[in-house]
Amino acid sequence: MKKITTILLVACTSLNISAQVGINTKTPQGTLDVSGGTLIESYVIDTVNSHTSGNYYLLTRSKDTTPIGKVKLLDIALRNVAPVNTYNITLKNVSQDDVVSLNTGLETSKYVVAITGAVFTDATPGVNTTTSIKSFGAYSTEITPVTTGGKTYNAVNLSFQGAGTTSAQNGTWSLTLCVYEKALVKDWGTYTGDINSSFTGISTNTPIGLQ
Amino acid sequence: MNRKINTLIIIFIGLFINAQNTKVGIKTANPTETLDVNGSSYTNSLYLRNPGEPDKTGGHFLATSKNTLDLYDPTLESSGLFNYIKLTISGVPATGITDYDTKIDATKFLVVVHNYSFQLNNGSTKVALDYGSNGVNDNKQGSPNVNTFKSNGTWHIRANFINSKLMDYINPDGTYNNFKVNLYLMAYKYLITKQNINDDTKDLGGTNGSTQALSKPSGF
Repeated sequence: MKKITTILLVACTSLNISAQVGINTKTPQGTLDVSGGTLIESYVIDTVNSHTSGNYYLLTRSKDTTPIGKVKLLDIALRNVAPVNTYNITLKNVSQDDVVSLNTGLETSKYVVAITGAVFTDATPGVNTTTSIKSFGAYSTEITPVTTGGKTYNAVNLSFQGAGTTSAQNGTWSLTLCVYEKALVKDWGTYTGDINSSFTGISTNTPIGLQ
Repeated sequence: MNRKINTLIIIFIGLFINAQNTKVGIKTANPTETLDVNGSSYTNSLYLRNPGEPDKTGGHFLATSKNTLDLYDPTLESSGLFNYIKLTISGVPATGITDYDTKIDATKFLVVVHNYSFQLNNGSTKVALDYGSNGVNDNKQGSPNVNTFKSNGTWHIRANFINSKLMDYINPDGTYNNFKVNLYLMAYKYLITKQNINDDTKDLGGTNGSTQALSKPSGF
């Protein structure tokens, strides 16, 4: 009982003399600093699990506050880069219809990049006459890594594989890049399959996390 | 002095301290965490020194819509951050679609076409293309032209092949005029997207671009 009284007294002292209260810490870093778990059973974090409605902000835990870990709003109006970004790119005067490893300047360690809506104009993909039976090239759009100056970047590749263009005219590619912050995306890289000249197959190496 | 004591008494009516394991309860005699508040709490800012172990079974994202921490619920109408939707457009003529208004609000969402298929109206994918729309083998092919664009505050879709006509592969006489286009769309909510990034145009000078670099938008 005496011990409890002492603690109560200490608590009183903190509550009234100092503007800062520490629980399990002698050096509180805010008005209230709880070195341990905090359970708030209603209103702020509600145990009845209220859901957001109308306009809302997502919450993030900041890594660059002192002390670390301040809960902040994700407000894209105040950020140059959002978790999901798109912008349009027009590539003029392309060597016929081939774009090979064109550096986007976006590092693979920071961004996952995808191409959508790539359209080829200003020249016409032609027939490939170098094959014994003349053939059309397959429309192909890919992002591949390219390393320069010790860093690896996402690069754009666009083509009608092997087709070239009518009269070898240079064309224009218009595309949209979707750029995702790596913090949001699990990049599983590549996994492969072989359907052995059949029409169907079953994957044998799907990443465990996706099964 | 008398006033100060009264204040202290009021504080202690609901404050419980467990001396054995230094747990503090407010309006609860059995605190289950270091600080257990059974009631409203107000603070100007909140820090999580150690947000705890990873939630491996999914859990919920947190969001705030008033001044409280709430659960992000993707199933509520108009609240999902990622909205995946298949759009099927039928009655499409051989010339394809030049402008279909999806009526998806461009101020609230960013819409991306992930993939698509062109079909006959009965679902068969036996669709051929006639470059030049002239019924002649031109030894040329038109680029797919399937994308979204913003117009009058909503997202629109175009889906055709440059300078080409869709044909029925089995009977390519150019008379079939009733195609179907399936589009698999992702609509990202504005809360997590940036759409006002400037377009970039680059002249590759007749090269394939492998020795060149695009200008990265500012901020990336």
